[in-house]
Amino acid sequence: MPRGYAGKFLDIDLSKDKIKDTTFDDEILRNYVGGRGLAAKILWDRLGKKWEKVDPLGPENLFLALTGPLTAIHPGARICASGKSPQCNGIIGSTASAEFPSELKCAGYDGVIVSGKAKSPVYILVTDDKAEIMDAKHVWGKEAPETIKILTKEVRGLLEERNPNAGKFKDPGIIYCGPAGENRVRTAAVMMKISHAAGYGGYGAVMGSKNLKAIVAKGRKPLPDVASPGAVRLLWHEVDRQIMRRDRTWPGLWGTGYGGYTVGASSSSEPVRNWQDEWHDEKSFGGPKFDYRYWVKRYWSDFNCSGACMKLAVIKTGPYKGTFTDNPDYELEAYLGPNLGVFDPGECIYLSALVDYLGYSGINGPNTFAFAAELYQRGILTKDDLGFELKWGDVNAFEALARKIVKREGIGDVLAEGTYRAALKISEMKGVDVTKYAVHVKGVEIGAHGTRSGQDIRPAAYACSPQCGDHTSVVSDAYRDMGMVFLDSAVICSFVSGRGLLWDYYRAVTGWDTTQEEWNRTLGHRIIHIQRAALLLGGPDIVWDPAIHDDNPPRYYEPLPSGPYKGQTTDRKTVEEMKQEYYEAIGWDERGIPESEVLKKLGLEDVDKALDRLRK
Amino acid sequence: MKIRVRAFGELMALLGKESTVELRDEARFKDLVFTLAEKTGSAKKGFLGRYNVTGPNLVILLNGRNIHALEKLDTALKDGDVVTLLPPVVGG
Repeated sequence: MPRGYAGKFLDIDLSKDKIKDTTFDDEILRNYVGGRGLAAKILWDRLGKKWEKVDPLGPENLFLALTGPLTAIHPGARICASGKSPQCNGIIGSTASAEFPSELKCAGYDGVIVSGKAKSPVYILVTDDKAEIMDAKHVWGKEAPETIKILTKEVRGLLEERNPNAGKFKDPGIIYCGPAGENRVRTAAVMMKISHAAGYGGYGAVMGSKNLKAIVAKGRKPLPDVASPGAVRLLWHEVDRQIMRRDRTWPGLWGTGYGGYTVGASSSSEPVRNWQDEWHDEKSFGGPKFDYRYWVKRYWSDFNCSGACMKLAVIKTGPYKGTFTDNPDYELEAYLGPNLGVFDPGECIYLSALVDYLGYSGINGPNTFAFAAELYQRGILTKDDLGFELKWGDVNAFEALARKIVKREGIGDVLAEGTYRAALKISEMKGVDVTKYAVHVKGVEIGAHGTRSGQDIRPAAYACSPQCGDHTSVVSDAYRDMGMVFLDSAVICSFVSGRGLLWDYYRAVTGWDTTQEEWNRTLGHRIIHIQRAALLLGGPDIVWDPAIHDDNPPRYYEPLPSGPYKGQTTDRKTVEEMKQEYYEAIGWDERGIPESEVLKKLGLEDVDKALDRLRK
Repeated sequence: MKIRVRAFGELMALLGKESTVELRDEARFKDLVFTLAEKTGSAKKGFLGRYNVTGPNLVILLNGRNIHALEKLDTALKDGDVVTLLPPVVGG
C-alpha cells in the first residue's frame, strides 16, 4: 500500500447488512489518487455498464465518502462525497471539511463505499479497523443540532463503556443528512458539524434514499505513514507560514465572508432576485453589517487548518434570537440574501442557519426557493398553489417554503425535485414554459457567480464543466483547470493549498514521482472523461444533449438591468467559440463526445465502448 | 498578421472585451505580450496590468490551449489566432 493512505476502504451493503474491507491496486490509486478521481473510477467500474438504468435514488446507486492521500496530512482536510448524482445523473465530487475525514483515516480507513438500502434508518459507526451498522430511528427526522448532540453523546458513551480504561473520548467525526436528505429532496447536502456542507450533487438525498442517517467515525490510531517525514514536516511549516502571511483581505485566510460580500457591487455577478439582476448597493448589506452586529467569533479555523475562514454568527436579539451558524460565507450570503430579496444581515443569517439545520445545500436549495418566488412574482404560481404569499424579502414565507419542500407537501413535492425538474413539471402543470427562469446547468443549480459582467466566471466555463453548475470546478483550458480536479482528488481545501509546493508535498507524502505536467496532461484528463461519459449517458429520468445543454441558462443571456455593467450580457458567439476551443483542447468531438482515439490512448477502452451508444 | 485578443475580468477594462492586434509575420507570443503591455501601460516588464504573464495567476489561452502546455512565450503565432486572457476568480 502506498504511503499517505490508511490502507483500506469500507465496503458496506446495507441491503444485506454486509460489511467488508476492500483495497485498490497501487496503480489505480496512483492514477486516480482518491476523492473525486477515485469516486469516478469506482462508480464507472461498478455501475458503468448499466449507467443509464441506475436510479440515483435507488438501492443500486453507491454513496461514497472518500478521503485522499493528502487529507489530514496537508492543512485543510476535507471529505469528498460522491455517487451517481440525483441532480445531473452524472458524477460530481463534492467536498466539505470538518473532523470526520481525519477521524476516518485514524480509524484505519480511506473511505466508505455504501450500496443497497437499509430496511429501517441506520447509521454506520466506524472505530479502529471496525465498522458496525447501528439503529438510527431515534435521530431520523431530527434537525442538525439535535442530530449531532444525540449521536455525539451516544457514541462517546458507547466507546467509554467499551474501553473503560481509555479515559474520556473526544467528540467523534460525523457526516449526516438532514431532514431534506431523508425525504430525498434533490438539493439536499451531505452535512458535517452544523453548517459544513458538501452541497453540489445532492448526495444528502442519496444518503436518505439508503435510509442512512449518518456515518460516525472515531479513530485512535495514528495518521498513516508518509514516504518522507522530514520533507513533509518542512513543507507543512512552509504552507502554514504561507497561510499565516496572507493579509486579512485574502479570502483564503479570512474566508469569503466580510470582503467577499462586496462581489455584487464590485464585479456585478451576484444573484439578485433569482438572477433577474446581478448588482446591488453593497453598503446596505456589506461585511461590516455582519461583523459588528453578529459575529461573536471572527477568527476561527476549522480542524487541521490555520486559515481563519470561519466566523461564528449569533443573533442575540429580536425575533430570531438564539440562531447561530457559521459565517454565512459569500455563497450563502448571496443566495439567502439578495437572491431572495433579503437585505437584512440578521434575516440572512437566520435563513442561512435554517437551510443548514434542514440539511439543504446552501446554494442549490435557495436557488429553488428563488425560482418559486419568481414564478409567484410573475403570477404563474399563486397563493392557492403555495398556501401563502411568497413575496421577495419575506423571511417567514421563505421559511414556510423551505419546510414545505422538506416535508414534500403539495407544491413542495414538485420543488423538492430541484429547480430544473420542478421547472419541467410546472411548465406541464401550468401550460407556460417556465424553464427560462430556471438558473441551472444540467440540473445543477449554479453557484453565486454570474457570467454576464465578464468580471467573474468565463462565458463557457459552466457549460462544458463535468461538475455542471459547480462554481469551484469550472473549466478553462483542459490544462490549468486540472488543478482543481487534483485538489478534489487529494481532497484538500483549495483555499490553503501551498502555492508552488503542492506537488512537492504530494510526492513527499506518497513517494510517487507524479508531476504536475503528467497530471495536467494525462491523469486529470482520465477523470474528466469518465465524468463526462457518465454525464452524457445520464438517465434514467433525464438525458443531456450536449448540443442543447452545454450552455448557460437562458437568464445569462438577458442584459443586466442595473449597475456598473448595465446592458452587458454573455455573448452567445463567444460561448460557442470557447466551447469548441475547449472541446478541441480536451479531446472531445464537435458534438462534445470524448473522441475514441483520445480515450484509447488514455487506456479508457470501456468508456469508449459505452460511448458508442451515443455516437450513432 | 492579425491576432484576436479576448480579455476578461480586470483586463477587460484595459484591453476591451475583444480587440485585434497587428503583428509582424513570424511573430512569437512574447511579441504579442510586448504589444499588449504597451497598450495596457504596464509598468513592470513581463506584466499585463497587475498580472505576471508567466506567473501562476493569469491563464492565457491560444485557441483554447494554455500557452504553458505549448511552448510558453516562444509559441509561434499565425494569422487569425485567438488569444484569451483569463485573470483569476475567487470562489466561496
